[in-house]
Amino acid sequence: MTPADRGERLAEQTVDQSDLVPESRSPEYLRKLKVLLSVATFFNGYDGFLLPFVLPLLLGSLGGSESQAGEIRAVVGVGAVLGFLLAAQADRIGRRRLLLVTIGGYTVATLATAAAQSLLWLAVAQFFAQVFLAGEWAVSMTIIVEEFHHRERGRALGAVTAMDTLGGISVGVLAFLGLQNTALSWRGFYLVGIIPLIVVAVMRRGLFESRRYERVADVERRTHHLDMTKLTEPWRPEFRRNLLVVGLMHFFRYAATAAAVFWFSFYAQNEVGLSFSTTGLYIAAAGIVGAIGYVVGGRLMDRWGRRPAFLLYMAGSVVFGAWLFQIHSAGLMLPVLCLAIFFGLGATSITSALSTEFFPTYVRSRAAAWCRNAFEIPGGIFGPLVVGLLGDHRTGPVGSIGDAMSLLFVVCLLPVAFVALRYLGETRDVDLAAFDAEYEQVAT
Amino acid sequence: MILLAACGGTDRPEGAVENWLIALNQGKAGEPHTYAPADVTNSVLPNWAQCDPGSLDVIEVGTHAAGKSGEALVPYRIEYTSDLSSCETTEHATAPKEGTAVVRRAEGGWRVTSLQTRSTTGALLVPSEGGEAIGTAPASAWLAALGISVLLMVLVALLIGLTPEPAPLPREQQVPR
Repeated sequence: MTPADRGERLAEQTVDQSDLVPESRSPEYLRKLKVLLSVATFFNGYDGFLLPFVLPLLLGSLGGSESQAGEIRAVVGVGAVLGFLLAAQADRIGRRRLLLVTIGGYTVATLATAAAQSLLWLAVAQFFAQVFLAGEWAVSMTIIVEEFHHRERGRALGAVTAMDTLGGISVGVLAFLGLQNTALSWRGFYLVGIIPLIVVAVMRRGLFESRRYERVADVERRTHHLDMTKLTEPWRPEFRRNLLVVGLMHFFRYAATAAAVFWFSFYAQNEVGLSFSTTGLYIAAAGIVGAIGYVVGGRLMDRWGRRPAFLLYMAGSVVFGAWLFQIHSAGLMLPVLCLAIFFGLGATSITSALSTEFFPTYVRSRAAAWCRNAFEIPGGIFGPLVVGLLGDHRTGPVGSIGDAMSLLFVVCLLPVAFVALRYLGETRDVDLAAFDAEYEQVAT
Repeated sequence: MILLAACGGTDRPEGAVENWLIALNQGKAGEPHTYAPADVTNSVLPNWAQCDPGSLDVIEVGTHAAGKSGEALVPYRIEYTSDLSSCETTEHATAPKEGTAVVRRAEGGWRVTSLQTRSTTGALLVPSEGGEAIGTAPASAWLAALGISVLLMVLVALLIGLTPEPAPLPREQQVPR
C-alpha cells in the first residue's frame, strides 16, 4: 500500500515534530547557514547578469562576432538545463556534499572563465559554471526548507532568494566603479567569483548535513526501500500532479519574467529613447526595490500561506509587467519598473517553497531540480526567444519589443494564475516530519 | 507564436538602421559593414573598431517614410558618451545626431547609403520626439494573445486532469503566534 493510498488517514493525524526530528538547529547556526546559502544565490544572480554585460568587451578582447555571442549564449543555456543531472544528485550524495561540490565547481569554472584565451575556452568554462550554478540553486532551496521551521521558512527563502537580485545589481555597481577600465578589464568581473570559495573555506567545517536528509538516508541505509537515485522518482503517481502543476507554473512564469529581464534594457533604450546610463540607473534602483519584493513575499507566504501570496504576486506581475512595456514616459517608467520587479521577480521566493514543500525529503532535491532545470530554465530560454522573434524591428510580425513583451505577459501569466487558482495546494503548514514518516513506514 | 514569427516575411528598413548603429556600438566585435559602407560608419564614429563598446549612449530609430526611387528615409537619434578617448583618433564625427538615414534595398536586405540632417519639428521623428513606433501590435494580436492564453489553460487543465489526485499533505498543529 502506497502512502498515497493511506494519505487520507495520515492527513488526519498529527505527528510531533520533535519525535521525528532529533534536534533543532540553533538560531546561530541558522544565521550562518543563511549567509552561506545567500552567497550561493548571490552569485547565481551575479553570473546571470554578468555574461550579457561583458559580452561586447570579451568579444573585442578574444576576437569574436555578434553571431558567436549568440552561440555562447546557447551553450550557456544548455549548461543550465543539464545542471539538472547534477542538482538531482543531492538526494543521493546529500545536501551538504553537493552544496560544497557546486560552490567549489562554480568557483573553478569562473576562474577558468577569467583566464580564457579563446571563445571556445570561455564557452566551455561558462557551460560548466552554469551546470554548477543550477545545482547550487536547487540544493540551497532544499536545505532551507529542511532546516528552518515551517513558520520561518518563507522568511528564510525570501532573504536568501533576494540575494539573487542583489547579485545582479552588484555587476552594475562594479561597472559603475569602473572595474572594466582596470587592466583586468572583463576578467576582473570573473575574478570576483573567487569569493564563494573563500566563504566556503571559512564555513565548511561548521556546515552540517540537513537533519531531515540524515534521517531519511539512515532509513534508506537500513532498508534499501527508498529510491534515492532514480531521476524519475518525483514522477511517481502520488507526486505527479503536484510536480506537473508546480513545473508548469515555473515554466510559464519564468518565460515571461526572463523575457522581461532580457529585453527591458533594449526596450528602454531603443523604443523609449532612454540613455544607456539612465537605463542602468533605473535597473539598479528598481533591483533594490525588487529585492524587497522577495523579502515581503517570504513574509506574506508565512503569514497568509503560499497560495494567496503567489496569487497576489501573479496579479501584480501581469498588471505591472504588461503596463511597463507600454510606457513611453521616462518619469512613469521607474515606479512601474520597481513594482514589476517587486512582483515579477519577488515571486521567486514563493516558487522556491512550492518546488520543495510538496515532496518528502528522499525525493525533494530531485523534484526541485525538475522544477528549476526541466521547466523553469527552458521557460527562460523560450520567453526571450519568442519576444525576439515577434518584436524584431526588422523582421518581427509585431515589430515592437514592448508590445511583444506585453502580449507574452498575457499569454503566459494568465495560465499561471489559472493553474494556481484551480490546482495549487497549500504547503504553509505541511508537516515535513510526518510527510517523511509516511515513506519511512513504507520502507520499514 | 513562433510560427507566426517565422511566417511574417517582414523586412523593415528601420531594423537595418538600428542593427547598424547597435553593431557600431559593439566596438571591435561589431560588424557594421554588414549594413553600411565604411565612410558612412566612420562619419558616426571615426575609427570605430578601436572604440570601447557603448560609445553611443542613445540609439533611437523611428518609422520610415518613402524616399525617391525606392529609397526609405529612416529618422534616427544618437548621443555620444562623454569619453571617446578609447577610439584613439583626432577625427570628429560628422554625422548629424538627429538625422535621417537613407536606406536602399540591396542584395541581402536594406543597406544605409547616406545620412542627412532633419528637423525635430518635421514629419520624420523618433518616438521620444513624438514620432510613431516602428511597429505596434494590432487589436487582433491582443485578441489572439487572449485566445492563446485560454487555449493554454484548456491544454494545461487536460494535462493535469490525466494525473492522479495527490494524497492530502500532513499538516502541523497550529500554534498561536
